[in-house]
Amino acid sequence: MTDGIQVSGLVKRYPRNRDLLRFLRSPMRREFTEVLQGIDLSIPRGGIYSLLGPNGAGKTTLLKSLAGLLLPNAGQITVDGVELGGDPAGLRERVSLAVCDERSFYWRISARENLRFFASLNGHRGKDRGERVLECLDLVGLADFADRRYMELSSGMRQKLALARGLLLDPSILMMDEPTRSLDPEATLRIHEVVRKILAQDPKRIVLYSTHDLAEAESISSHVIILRNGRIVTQKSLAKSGSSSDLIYCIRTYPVAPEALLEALSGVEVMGSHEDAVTVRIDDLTRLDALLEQLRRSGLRPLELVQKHSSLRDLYLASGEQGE
Amino acid sequence: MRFWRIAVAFVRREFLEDASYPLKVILSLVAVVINLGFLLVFTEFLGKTLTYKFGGMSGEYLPFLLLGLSFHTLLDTALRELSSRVRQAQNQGVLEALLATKAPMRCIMLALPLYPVMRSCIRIVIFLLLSAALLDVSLRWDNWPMAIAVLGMGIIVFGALGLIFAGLTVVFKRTEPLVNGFNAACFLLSGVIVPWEELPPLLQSVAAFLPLTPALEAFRYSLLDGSDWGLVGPAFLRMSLFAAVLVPLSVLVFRWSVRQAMRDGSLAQY
Repeated sequence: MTDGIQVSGLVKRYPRNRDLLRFLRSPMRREFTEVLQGIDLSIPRGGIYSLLGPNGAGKTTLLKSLAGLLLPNAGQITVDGVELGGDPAGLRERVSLAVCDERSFYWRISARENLRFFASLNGHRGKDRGERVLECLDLVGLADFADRRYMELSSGMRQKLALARGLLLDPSILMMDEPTRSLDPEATLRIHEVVRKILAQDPKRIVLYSTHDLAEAESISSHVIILRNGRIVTQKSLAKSGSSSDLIYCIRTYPVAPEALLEALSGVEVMGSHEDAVTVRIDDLTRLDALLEQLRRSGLRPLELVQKHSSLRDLYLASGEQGE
Repeated sequence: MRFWRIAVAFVRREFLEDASYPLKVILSLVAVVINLGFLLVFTEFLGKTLTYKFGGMSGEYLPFLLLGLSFHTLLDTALRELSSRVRQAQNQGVLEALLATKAPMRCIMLALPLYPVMRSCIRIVIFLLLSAALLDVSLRWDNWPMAIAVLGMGIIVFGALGLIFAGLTVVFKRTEPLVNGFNAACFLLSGVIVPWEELPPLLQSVAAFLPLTPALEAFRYSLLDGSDWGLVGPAFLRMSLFAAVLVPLSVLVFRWSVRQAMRDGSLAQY
Protein backbone atom coordinates (compact mmCIF):
# COMPACT_ATOMS: atom_id res chain seq x y z
CA MET A 1 0.00 0.00 0.00
CA THR A 2 1.36 3.43 -0.98
CA ASP A 3 1.02 6.07 1.71
CA GLY A 4 -0.06 9.56 0.77
CA ILE A 5 -1.89 10.81 -2.27
CA GLN A 6 -1.48 9.27 -5.72
CA VAL A 7 -3.19 10.80 -8.72
CA SER A 8 -2.91 9.45 -12.22
CA GLY A 9 -4.38 10.81 -15.44
CA LEU A 10 -6.94 13.00 -13.67
CA VAL A 11 -9.18 14.82 -16.12
CA LYS A 12 -11.96 17.19 -15.16
CA ARG A 13 -14.22 18.93 -17.61
CA TYR A 14 -16.90 21.48 -16.81
CA PRO A 15 -19.85 22.05 -19.12
CA ARG A 16 -20.06 25.63 -20.34
CA ASN A 17 -23.10 27.59 -19.28
CA ARG A 18 -25.35 28.59 -22.13
CA ASP A 19 -27.86 31.38 -22.33
CA LEU A 20 -31.43 30.74 -23.46
CA LEU A 21 -30.79 31.65 -27.11
CA ARG A 22 -27.87 29.26 -27.47
CA PHE A 23 -29.83 26.54 -25.69
CA LEU A 24 -32.79 26.95 -28.05
CA ARG A 25 -30.48 26.94 -31.08
CA SER A 26 -28.94 23.58 -30.19
CA PRO A 27 -30.54 22.00 -27.11
CA MET A 28 -28.55 18.77 -27.28
CA ARG A 29 -25.14 20.32 -27.83
CA ARG A 30 -22.91 20.60 -24.78
CA GLU A 31 -19.59 22.35 -24.76
CA PHE A 32 -16.94 21.66 -22.18
CA THR A 33 -13.93 23.37 -20.69
CA GLU A 34 -11.15 21.00 -19.67
CA VAL A 35 -9.92 22.33 -16.35
CA LEU A 36 -7.64 19.44 -15.38
CA GLN A 37 -5.84 17.86 -18.31
CA GLY A 38 -4.41 14.57 -17.12
CA ILE A 39 -2.88 15.30 -13.73
CA ASP A 40 -0.25 12.89 -12.45
CA LEU A 41 0.80 13.56 -8.91
CA SER A 42 2.38 11.77 -6.02
CA ILE A 43 2.44 13.29 -2.56
CA PRO A 44 4.21 11.26 0.08
CA ARG A 45 3.37 11.58 3.77
CA GLY A 46 4.63 14.52 5.80
CA GLY A 47 5.04 18.15 4.80
CA ILE A 48 3.32 21.31 3.72
CA TYR A 49 2.73 21.32 -0.02
CA SER A 50 1.88 24.60 -1.66
CA LEU A 51 -0.27 24.35 -4.71
CA LEU A 52 0.70 27.32 -6.83
CA GLY A 53 -0.73 28.58 -10.04
CA PRO A 54 -2.39 31.56 -11.68
CA ASN A 55 -6.13 32.15 -11.50
CA GLY A 56 -7.99 29.48 -13.42
CA ALA A 57 -5.08 27.03 -13.34
CA GLY A 58 -7.27 24.37 -11.72
CA LYS A 59 -6.11 24.54 -8.07
CA THR A 60 -9.58 24.55 -6.52
CA THR A 61 -10.82 21.88 -8.91
CA LEU A 62 -7.87 19.66 -7.98
CA LEU A 63 -8.48 20.14 -4.26
CA LYS A 64 -12.20 19.47 -4.59
CA SER A 65 -11.50 16.37 -6.65
CA LEU A 66 -9.12 15.12 -3.97
CA ALA A 67 -11.75 15.81 -1.32
CA GLY A 68 -14.33 13.79 -3.25
CA LEU A 69 -16.58 16.79 -3.89
CA LEU A 70 -16.14 16.51 -7.64
CA LEU A 71 -16.34 13.43 -9.79
CA PRO A 72 -13.47 13.21 -12.27
CA ASN A 73 -14.15 12.53 -15.95
CA ALA A 74 -11.14 10.26 -16.14
CA GLY A 75 -8.23 9.16 -14.02
CA GLN A 76 -7.71 7.72 -10.61
CA ILE A 77 -7.14 9.16 -7.15
CA THR A 78 -5.94 7.00 -4.28
CA VAL A 79 -5.34 8.05 -0.71
CA ASP A 80 -3.21 5.66 1.35
CA GLY A 81 -3.89 3.01 -1.26
CA VAL A 82 -7.69 3.42 -1.10
CA GLU A 83 -9.30 4.50 -4.33
CA LEU A 84 -11.48 7.57 -4.11
CA GLY A 85 -15.00 6.82 -5.19
CA GLY A 86 -14.82 3.32 -3.77
CA ASP A 87 -15.06 4.42 -0.16
CA PRO A 88 -15.91 8.12 0.21
CA ALA A 89 -17.01 7.73 3.84
CA GLY A 90 -13.73 6.08 4.80
CA LEU A 91 -11.79 8.80 3.00
CA ARG A 92 -13.60 11.55 4.91
CA GLU A 93 -11.81 10.26 8.03
CA ARG A 94 -8.45 10.91 6.44
CA VAL A 95 -9.00 13.75 4.03
CA SER A 96 -10.44 17.06 5.07
CA LEU A 97 -10.97 20.11 2.93
CA ALA A 98 -11.08 23.25 5.02
CA VAL A 99 -13.74 25.13 3.06
CA CYS A 100 -12.41 28.65 3.55
CA ASP A 101 -15.38 30.46 2.03
CA GLU A 102 -16.49 33.04 4.59
CA ARG A 103 -20.11 32.36 3.74
CA SER A 104 -19.88 28.69 4.55
CA PHE A 105 -20.90 29.15 8.20
CA TYR A 106 -24.08 30.04 10.02
CA TRP A 107 -23.75 33.72 10.78
CA ARG A 108 -26.18 34.13 13.64
CA ILE A 109 -24.81 31.45 15.92
CA SER A 110 -21.53 31.42 17.83
CA ALA A 111 -18.21 30.03 16.67
CA ARG A 112 -18.58 27.23 19.22
CA GLU A 113 -22.10 26.35 18.06
CA ASN A 114 -20.98 26.34 14.43
CA LEU A 115 -18.18 23.91 15.21
CA ARG A 116 -20.42 21.84 17.45
CA PHE A 117 -22.85 21.44 14.55
CA PHE A 118 -20.15 20.32 12.11
CA ALA A 119 -18.61 18.08 14.79
CA SER A 120 -21.98 16.33 15.16
CA LEU A 121 -22.05 15.70 11.40
CA ASN A 122 -18.57 14.26 11.72
CA GLY A 123 -19.74 11.73 14.27
CA HIS A 124 -18.52 13.39 17.49
CA ARG A 125 -20.95 13.23 20.34
CA GLY A 126 -21.41 13.91 24.01
CA LYS A 127 -18.46 15.08 26.07
CA ASP A 128 -15.98 14.15 23.36
CA ARG A 129 -17.66 16.60 20.96
CA GLY A 130 -17.41 19.53 23.37
CA GLU A 131 -13.77 18.72 24.11
CA ARG A 132 -12.85 18.35 20.45
CA VAL A 133 -14.53 21.65 19.58
CA LEU A 134 -12.63 23.45 22.33
CA GLU A 135 -9.38 21.74 21.36
CA CYS A 136 -9.72 22.91 17.74
CA LEU A 137 -10.73 26.42 18.79
CA ASP A 138 -7.74 26.53 21.09
CA LEU A 139 -5.40 25.27 18.39
CA VAL A 140 -6.33 28.12 16.06
CA GLY A 141 -6.33 30.66 18.88
CA LEU A 142 -10.07 31.27 19.00
CA ALA A 143 -10.85 29.82 22.42
CA ASP A 144 -11.44 33.30 23.85
CA PHE A 145 -13.90 34.10 21.08
CA ALA A 146 -15.79 30.80 21.20
CA ASP A 147 -19.08 32.35 22.22
CA ARG A 148 -18.94 35.27 19.84
CA ARG A 149 -21.42 35.10 16.97
CA TYR A 150 -19.84 34.23 13.63
CA MET A 151 -20.99 37.51 12.10
CA GLU A 152 -19.07 39.40 14.80
CA LEU A 153 -15.75 37.72 13.95
CA SER A 154 -13.12 39.42 11.79
CA SER A 155 -12.11 37.97 8.41
CA GLY A 156 -8.95 36.49 9.91
CA MET A 157 -10.93 34.85 12.70
CA ARG A 158 -13.36 33.40 10.18
CA GLN A 159 -10.51 31.84 8.23
CA LYS A 160 -9.16 30.39 11.45
CA LEU A 161 -12.57 28.98 12.25
CA ALA A 162 -12.65 27.37 8.80
CA LEU A 163 -9.29 25.82 9.63
CA ALA A 164 -10.64 24.62 12.98
CA ARG A 165 -13.59 23.03 11.18
CA GLY A 166 -11.20 21.22 8.87
CA LEU A 167 -9.36 19.86 11.89
CA LEU A 168 -12.39 18.45 13.70
CA LEU A 169 -11.76 14.98 12.33
CA ASP A 170 -8.03 15.19 13.04
CA PRO A 171 -7.38 14.34 9.38
CA SER A 172 -4.10 12.97 8.18
CA ILE A 173 -4.52 15.02 4.99
CA LEU A 174 -5.66 18.60 5.39
CA MET A 175 -6.37 20.71 2.34
CA MET A 176 -6.84 24.45 2.38
CA ASP A 177 -7.99 26.54 -0.54
CA GLU A 178 -6.42 29.98 -0.33
CA PRO A 179 -6.92 30.35 3.40
CA THR A 180 -5.17 33.73 3.55
CA ARG A 181 -7.00 35.34 0.66
CA SER A 182 -7.99 38.91 1.58
CA LEU A 183 -6.23 38.77 4.94
CA ASP A 184 -3.84 41.41 6.26
CA PRO A 185 -0.18 40.39 6.78
CA GLU A 186 -0.57 39.87 10.53
CA ALA A 187 -3.58 37.60 10.15
CA THR A 188 -1.72 35.73 7.38
CA LEU A 189 1.24 35.14 9.68
CA ARG A 190 -1.06 33.84 12.39
CA ILE A 191 -2.63 31.38 9.94
CA HIS A 192 0.90 30.25 8.98
CA GLU A 193 1.73 29.68 12.63
CA VAL A 194 -1.37 27.53 13.03
CA VAL A 195 -0.53 25.49 9.93
CA ARG A 196 3.01 24.85 11.23
CA LYS A 197 1.57 23.88 14.61
CA ILE A 198 -0.78 21.42 12.92
CA LEU A 199 2.13 19.77 11.14
CA ALA A 200 4.25 19.73 14.29
CA GLN A 201 1.44 17.82 16.05
CA ASP A 202 1.67 15.06 13.47
CA PRO A 203 4.75 15.20 11.21
CA LYS A 204 3.26 12.46 9.01
CA ARG A 205 0.40 14.75 8.08
CA ILE A 206 0.05 16.19 4.59
CA VAL A 207 -1.04 19.81 4.41
CA LEU A 208 -1.98 20.83 0.89
CA TYR A 209 -2.19 24.59 0.70
CA SER A 210 -3.34 26.42 -2.37
CA THR A 211 -2.21 29.98 -2.93
CA HIS A 212 -0.98 32.26 -5.66
CA ASP A 213 1.24 34.23 -3.34
CA LEU A 214 4.82 33.14 -4.00
CA ALA A 215 6.26 34.71 -0.84
CA GLU A 216 3.65 32.89 1.21
CA ALA A 217 4.39 29.58 -0.47
CA GLU A 218 8.09 30.08 0.06
CA SER A 219 7.74 30.91 3.71
CA ILE A 220 5.38 28.13 4.68
CA SER A 221 5.91 25.10 2.51
CA SER A 222 8.37 22.28 2.25
CA HIS A 223 7.33 21.49 -1.32
CA VAL A 224 5.70 23.31 -4.18
CA ILE A 225 3.42 22.00 -6.89
CA ILE A 226 2.92 24.41 -9.77
CA LEU A 227 -0.21 24.04 -11.82
CA ARG A 228 -0.74 25.78 -15.14
CA ASN A 229 -3.58 25.35 -17.61
CA GLY A 230 -4.74 22.23 -15.83
CA ARG A 231 -1.35 20.53 -15.89
CA ILE A 232 1.29 20.09 -13.25
CA VAL A 233 4.41 21.70 -14.62
CA THR A 234 6.63 21.48 -11.54
CA GLN A 235 6.66 19.53 -8.33
CA LYS A 236 9.73 20.12 -6.22
CA SER A 237 11.04 20.17 -2.74
CA LEU A 238 11.85 23.78 -1.90
CA ALA A 239 15.13 22.74 -0.31
CA LYS A 240 16.27 21.39 -3.68
CA SER A 241 14.65 23.87 -6.00
CA GLY A 242 16.16 26.88 -4.33
CA SER A 243 14.36 28.83 -1.69
CA SER A 244 15.25 31.03 1.22
CA SER A 245 16.24 27.82 2.99
CA ASP A 246 18.89 27.39 0.31
CA LEU A 247 21.90 29.68 0.27
CA ILE A 248 22.14 31.35 -3.10
CA TYR A 249 24.56 34.27 -3.45
CA CYS A 250 25.44 36.71 -6.15
CA ILE A 251 29.15 37.62 -5.91
CA ARG A 252 30.98 40.61 -7.43
CA THR A 253 34.73 40.98 -7.11
CA TYR A 254 37.57 43.37 -7.87
CA PRO A 255 39.12 43.13 -10.34
CA VAL A 256 36.13 42.27 -12.50
CA ALA A 257 37.08 38.96 -14.03
CA PRO A 258 34.28 36.42 -14.22
CA GLU A 259 36.48 33.81 -15.83
CA ALA A 260 38.98 34.07 -12.98
CA LEU A 261 36.07 34.09 -10.59
CA LEU A 262 34.65 30.92 -12.08
CA GLU A 263 38.05 29.31 -11.84
CA ALA A 264 38.39 30.34 -8.23
CA LEU A 265 35.01 28.85 -7.45
CA SER A 266 35.74 25.37 -8.68
CA GLY A 267 33.96 22.82 -6.54
CA VAL A 268 31.07 25.23 -5.81
CA GLU A 269 27.73 24.91 -7.62
CA VAL A 270 27.61 27.84 -10.05
CA MET A 271 24.05 28.70 -11.05
CA GLY A 272 24.90 31.37 -13.59
CA SER A 273 27.36 34.09 -14.55
CA HIS A 274 26.88 37.57 -15.91
CA GLU A 275 29.37 40.21 -17.08
CA ASP A 276 30.65 41.10 -13.67
CA ALA A 277 28.96 38.67 -11.29
CA VAL A 278 28.50 35.01 -10.58
CA THR A 279 25.59 33.33 -8.82
CA VAL A 280 26.44 30.32 -6.68
CA ARG A 281 24.65 27.96 -4.35
CA ILE A 282 26.17 26.56 -1.17
CA ASP A 283 24.52 23.93 0.96
CA ASP A 284 25.83 25.13 4.30
CA LEU A 285 26.36 28.62 5.72
CA THR A 286 29.72 27.57 7.25
CA ARG A 287 31.01 27.13 3.71
CA LEU A 288 30.61 30.86 3.08
CA ASP A 289 33.87 31.76 4.93
CA ALA A 290 35.74 29.07 3.03
CA LEU A 291 34.34 30.42 -0.22
CA LEU A 292 35.48 33.98 0.54
CA GLU A 293 38.92 32.68 1.56
CA GLN A 294 39.08 30.75 -1.72
CA LEU A 295 38.43 34.03 -3.61
CA ARG A 296 41.08 35.97 -1.66
CA ARG A 297 43.64 33.25 -2.30
CA SER A 298 42.92 33.65 -6.01
CA GLY A 299 43.66 37.38 -5.79
CA LEU A 300 40.02 38.49 -6.04
CA ARG A 301 38.64 40.91 -3.48
CA PRO A 302 34.89 40.36 -2.79
CA LEU A 303 33.06 43.66 -3.38
CA GLU A 304 29.50 42.51 -3.03
CA LEU A 305 27.86 39.42 -1.65
CA VAL A 306 24.06 39.43 -2.00
CA GLN A 307 21.80 36.62 -0.90
CA LYS A 308 19.15 35.95 -3.56
CA HIS A 309 15.57 35.47 -2.48
CA SER A 310 13.79 35.25 -5.77
CA SER A 311 14.44 31.62 -6.54
CA LEU A 312 10.82 30.49 -6.23
CA ARG A 313 9.82 33.40 -8.41
CA ASP A 314 12.34 32.25 -11.00
CA LEU A 315 11.04 28.72 -10.75
CA TYR A 316 7.45 29.92 -11.10
CA LEU A 317 8.22 32.11 -14.10
CA ALA A 318 10.24 29.33 -15.71
CA SER A 319 7.27 27.01 -15.18
CA GLY A 320 5.18 29.54 -17.08
CA GLU A 321 7.38 29.18 -20.13
CA GLN A 322 7.21 25.42 -19.71
CA GLY A 323 3.42 25.50 -19.45
CA GLU A 324 2.92 27.60 -22.58
CA MET B 1 -23.67 7.34 11.68
CA ARG B 2 -27.20 7.37 13.05
CA PHE B 3 -29.71 9.58 11.29
CA TRP B 4 -31.35 10.85 14.46
CA ARG B 5 -28.06 12.33 15.70
CA ILE B 6 -27.70 14.28 12.49
CA ALA B 7 -31.36 15.29 12.71
CA VAL B 8 -30.91 16.55 16.28
CA ALA B 9 -27.87 18.59 15.19
CA PHE B 10 -29.86 20.25 12.40
CA VAL B 11 -32.91 20.93 14.57
CA ARG B 12 -30.77 22.37 17.38
CA ARG B 13 -28.82 24.60 15.02
CA GLU B 14 -31.96 25.91 13.32
CA PHE B 15 -33.64 26.50 16.65
CA LEU B 16 -30.65 28.57 17.80
CA GLU B 17 -30.74 30.55 14.56
CA ASP B 18 -34.47 31.12 14.92
CA ALA B 19 -34.08 32.14 18.54
CA SER B 20 -31.56 34.77 17.46
CA TYR B 21 -34.45 36.57 15.77
CA PRO B 22 -36.77 37.12 18.75
CA LEU B 23 -39.12 39.29 16.72
CA LYS B 24 -39.57 36.53 14.14
CA VAL B 25 -40.87 34.11 16.79
CA ILE B 26 -43.31 36.72 18.07
CA LEU B 27 -44.43 37.66 14.56
CA SER B 28 -45.11 34.07 13.56
CA LEU B 29 -47.45 33.76 16.55
CA VAL B 30 -49.07 37.05 15.56
CA ALA B 31 -49.55 35.62 12.05
CA VAL B 32 -51.51 32.67 13.49
CA VAL B 33 -53.75 35.11 15.40
CA ILE B 34 -54.24 37.28 12.29
CA ASN B 35 -55.21 34.21 10.24
CA LEU B 36 -57.66 33.23 12.93
CA GLY B 37 -59.03 36.77 12.92
CA PHE B 38 -59.72 36.52 9.21
CA LEU B 39 -61.45 33.18 9.72
CA LEU B 40 -63.48 34.67 12.56
CA VAL B 41 -64.72 37.45 10.27
CA PHE B 42 -65.33 34.87 7.55
CA THR B 43 -67.36 32.75 9.98
CA GLU B 44 -69.40 35.68 11.27
CA PHE B 45 -70.43 36.89 7.85
CA LEU B 46 -70.47 33.85 5.63
CA GLY B 47 -69.34 30.73 7.39
CA LYS B 48 -72.57 29.71 9.02
CA THR B 49 -74.48 29.89 5.77
CA LEU B 50 -72.02 27.74 3.82
CA THR B 51 -72.01 24.01 3.98
CA TYR B 52 -70.05 21.25 2.30
CA LYS B 53 -70.98 17.83 0.95
CA PHE B 54 -68.16 15.43 0.49
CA GLY B 55 -67.75 11.65 0.40
CA GLY B 56 -71.05 11.00 2.12
CA MET B 57 -70.33 13.64 4.79
CA SER B 58 -71.90 17.06 5.09
CA GLY B 59 -71.80 19.94 7.51
CA GLU B 60 -70.52 23.45 8.14
CA TYR B 61 -67.97 24.67 5.67
CA LEU B 62 -65.53 26.23 8.17
CA PRO B 63 -64.12 22.99 9.69
CA PHE B 64 -63.81 21.58 6.18
CA LEU B 65 -61.82 24.64 5.10
CA LEU B 66 -59.68 24.67 8.25
CA LEU B 67 -58.54 21.09 7.75
CA GLY B 68 -57.90 21.72 4.06
CA LEU B 69 -55.77 24.78 4.74
CA SER B 70 -53.87 23.06 7.56
CA PHE B 71 -52.95 20.01 5.55
CA HIS B 72 -52.04 22.11 2.55
CA THR B 73 -49.65 24.10 4.78
CA LEU B 74 -47.83 20.85 5.50
CA LEU B 75 -47.55 20.00 1.80
CA ASP B 76 -46.42 23.53 1.06
CA THR B 77 -43.71 23.32 3.75
CA ALA B 78 -42.42 19.96 2.55
CA LEU B 79 -42.42 21.02 -1.09
CA ARG B 80 -40.83 24.41 -0.64
CA GLU B 81 -38.62 24.05 2.37
CA LEU B 82 -36.37 21.23 1.21
CA SER B 83 -35.67 22.75 -2.18
CA SER B 84 -35.38 26.26 -0.75
CA ARG B 85 -33.02 25.01 1.98
CA VAL B 86 -30.86 23.28 -0.60
CA ARG B 87 -30.82 26.48 -2.62
CA GLN B 88 -30.12 28.57 0.47
CA ALA B 89 -27.24 26.24 1.36
CA GLN B 90 -25.90 26.65 -2.19
CA ASN B 91 -26.25 30.43 -1.97
CA GLN B 92 -24.58 30.58 1.42
CA GLY B 93 -21.79 28.25 0.35
CA VAL B 94 -22.65 25.88 3.20
CA LEU B 95 -23.66 22.96 0.99
CA GLU B 96 -20.09 21.97 0.14
CA ALA B 97 -19.06 22.29 3.77
CA LEU B 98 -21.94 19.99 4.73
CA LEU B 99 -21.09 17.45 2.06
CA ALA B 100 -17.42 17.53 3.09
CA THR B 101 -18.38 16.07 6.48
CA LYS B 102 -18.67 12.38 7.28
CA ALA B 103 -22.47 12.50 7.38
CA PRO B 104 -24.06 10.55 4.51
CA MET B 105 -25.64 12.81 1.93
CA ARG B 106 -29.07 11.17 2.22
CA CYS B 107 -29.12 11.91 5.96
CA ILE B 108 -28.18 15.54 5.39
CA MET B 109 -30.93 15.95 2.83
CA LEU B 110 -33.53 14.34 5.05
CA ALA B 111 -32.45 16.43 8.02
CA LEU B 112 -32.46 19.75 6.13
CA PRO B 113 -36.24 20.30 6.12
CA LEU B 114 -36.91 18.61 9.46
CA TYR B 115 -37.08 21.76 11.55
CA PRO B 116 -39.50 23.65 9.28
CA VAL B 117 -41.71 20.56 8.96
CA MET B 118 -41.74 20.19 12.75
CA ARG B 119 -42.51 23.89 13.11
CA SER B 120 -45.27 23.51 10.56
CA CYS B 121 -46.82 20.54 12.41
CA ILE B 122 -46.76 22.49 15.68
CA ARG B 123 -48.33 25.49 13.96
CA ILE B 124 -51.09 23.28 12.51
CA VAL B 125 -51.89 21.83 15.94
CA ILE B 126 -51.94 25.32 17.54
CA PHE B 127 -54.07 26.62 14.67
CA LEU B 128 -56.58 23.80 15.02
CA LEU B 129 -56.71 24.01 18.81
CA LEU B 130 -57.23 27.79 18.73
CA SER B 131 -59.85 27.39 16.00
CA ALA B 132 -61.69 24.87 18.10
CA ALA B 133 -61.54 27.16 21.13
CA LEU B 134 -62.26 30.52 19.49
CA LEU B 135 -64.37 29.68 16.44
CA ASP B 136 -66.43 26.94 17.96
CA VAL B 137 -65.23 24.44 15.41
CA SER B 138 -66.02 20.93 16.43
CA LEU B 139 -63.43 18.35 15.44
CA ARG B 140 -63.29 14.68 16.42
CA TRP B 141 -60.22 14.87 18.64
CA ASP B 142 -61.02 11.40 20.02
CA ASN B 143 -59.92 10.03 16.64
CA TRP B 144 -56.39 11.49 17.02
CA PRO B 145 -54.46 8.21 16.48
CA MET B 146 -55.98 7.95 12.99
CA ALA B 147 -55.24 11.63 12.31
CA ILE B 148 -51.63 11.19 13.44
CA ALA B 149 -51.24 8.15 11.16
CA VAL B 150 -52.57 10.16 8.20
CA LEU B 151 -50.34 13.10 9.11
CA GLY B 152 -47.30 10.78 9.30
CA MET B 153 -48.04 9.21 5.92
CA GLY B 154 -48.61 12.72 4.52
CA ILE B 155 -45.17 13.79 5.74
CA ILE B 156 -43.59 10.75 4.04
CA VAL B 157 -45.34 11.37 0.71
CA PHE B 158 -44.78 15.14 0.69
CA GLY B 159 -41.22 14.71 1.94
CA ALA B 160 -40.50 12.42 -1.02
CA LEU B 161 -41.96 15.03 -3.36
CA GLY B 162 -39.86 17.68 -1.65
CA LEU B 163 -36.75 15.55 -2.18
CA ILE B 164 -37.51 15.24 -5.90
CA PHE B 165 -37.84 19.02 -6.25
CA ALA B 166 -34.71 19.52 -4.11
CA GLY B 167 -32.78 17.19 -6.43
CA LEU B 168 -33.94 19.18 -9.43
CA THR B 169 -32.89 22.38 -7.61
CA VAL B 170 -29.37 20.97 -7.13
CA VAL B 171 -29.00 20.55 -10.90
CA PHE B 172 -31.21 23.24 -12.44
CA LYS B 173 -30.99 25.82 -9.59
CA ARG B 174 -34.25 27.65 -10.26
CA THR B 175 -37.20 25.30 -9.86
CA GLU B 176 -39.61 27.72 -8.20
CA PRO B 177 -42.00 27.83 -11.21
CA LEU B 178 -42.31 24.04 -11.10
CA VAL B 179 -42.87 23.97 -7.33
CA ASN B 180 -45.34 26.85 -7.50
CA GLY B 181 -47.24 25.23 -10.39
CA PHE B 182 -47.51 21.88 -8.63
CA ASN B 183 -48.49 23.57 -5.39
CA ALA B 184 -51.20 25.64 -7.09
CA ALA B 185 -52.57 22.55 -8.87
CA CYS B 186 -52.81 20.75 -5.51
CA PHE B 187 -54.42 23.77 -3.87
CA LEU B 188 -57.09 24.14 -6.54
CA LEU B 189 -57.78 20.54 -7.50
CA SER B 190 -57.19 18.39 -4.43
CA GLY B 191 -60.07 19.82 -2.46
CA VAL B 192 -58.45 22.36 -0.16
CA ILE B 193 -61.25 24.88 -0.61
CA VAL B 194 -63.74 23.02 -2.82
CA PRO B 195 -64.50 19.27 -2.55
CA TRP B 196 -62.89 17.67 -5.54
CA GLU B 197 -66.12 15.80 -6.30
CA GLU B 198 -67.59 19.17 -7.27
CA LEU B 199 -65.01 19.67 -10.03
CA PRO B 200 -65.64 18.88 -13.72
CA PRO B 201 -64.84 15.22 -14.61
CA LEU B 202 -61.62 16.10 -16.45
CA LEU B 203 -60.23 17.98 -13.45
CA GLN B 204 -61.39 15.18 -11.14
CA SER B 205 -59.26 12.71 -13.06
CA VAL B 206 -56.27 15.08 -12.75
CA ALA B 207 -56.94 15.43 -9.01
CA ALA B 208 -56.82 11.64 -8.63
CA PHE B 209 -53.11 11.77 -9.54
CA LEU B 210 -52.27 14.41 -6.95
CA PRO B 211 -51.07 13.06 -3.59
CA LEU B 212 -52.82 15.80 -1.61
CA THR B 213 -56.23 14.47 -2.73
CA PRO B 214 -56.25 11.19 -0.76
CA ALA B 215 -54.33 12.84 2.10
CA LEU B 216 -57.02 15.48 2.57
CA GLU B 217 -59.74 12.88 2.21
CA ALA B 218 -58.24 10.69 4.93
CA PHE B 219 -57.52 13.65 7.22
CA ARG B 220 -61.07 14.94 6.93
CA TYR B 221 -62.60 11.52 7.43
CA SER B 222 -60.65 11.14 10.65
CA LEU B 223 -61.13 14.62 12.15
CA LEU B 224 -64.48 15.74 10.71
CA ASP B 225 -66.37 12.51 10.82
CA GLY B 226 -64.36 10.45 13.30
CA SER B 227 -64.55 7.66 10.74
CA ASP B 228 -63.00 4.30 11.41
CA TRP B 229 -60.55 2.37 9.27
CA GLY B 230 -63.36 1.29 6.91
CA LEU B 231 -63.69 4.83 5.51
CA VAL B 232 -60.16 6.15 6.08
CA GLY B 233 -58.55 2.92 4.81
CA PRO B 234 -59.06 3.33 1.02
CA ALA B 235 -57.69 6.89 1.05
CA PHE B 236 -54.82 5.81 3.30
CA LEU B 237 -54.07 2.96 0.90
CA ARG B 238 -53.90 5.39 -2.01
CA MET B 239 -51.50 7.52 0.05
CA SER B 240 -49.40 4.40 0.66
CA LEU B 241 -49.31 3.74 -3.08
CA PHE B 242 -48.07 7.27 -3.67
CA ALA B 243 -45.42 6.66 -0.97
CA ALA B 244 -44.40 3.35 -2.55
CA VAL B 245 -43.79 5.09 -5.87
CA LEU B 246 -42.48 8.46 -4.70
CA VAL B 247 -40.03 7.39 -1.96
CA PRO B 248 -37.77 5.21 -4.15
CA LEU B 249 -38.19 7.65 -7.03
CA SER B 250 -37.10 10.56 -4.85
CA VAL B 251 -34.00 8.66 -3.70
CA LEU B 252 -33.09 7.86 -7.32
CA VAL B 253 -33.72 11.43 -8.53
CA PHE B 254 -31.78 12.95 -5.68
CA ARG B 255 -28.82 10.59 -6.04
CA TRP B 256 -28.71 11.23 -9.78
CA SER B 257 -28.94 15.00 -9.23
CA VAL B 258 -26.07 15.15 -6.75
CA ARG B 259 -23.85 12.97 -8.93
CA GLN B 260 -24.71 15.15 -11.91
CA ALA B 261 -23.84 18.30 -9.95
CA MET B 262 -20.57 16.72 -8.78
CA ARG B 263 -19.78 15.83 -12.38
CA ASP B 264 -20.66 19.32 -13.65
CA GLY B 265 -18.93 21.00 -10.71
CA SER B 266 -22.09 22.95 -9.97
CA LEU B 267 -22.74 21.71 -6.45
CA ALA B 268 -21.96 25.08 -4.89
CA GLN B 269 -23.16 27.20 -7.78
CA TYR B 270 -26.36 29.16 -7.60
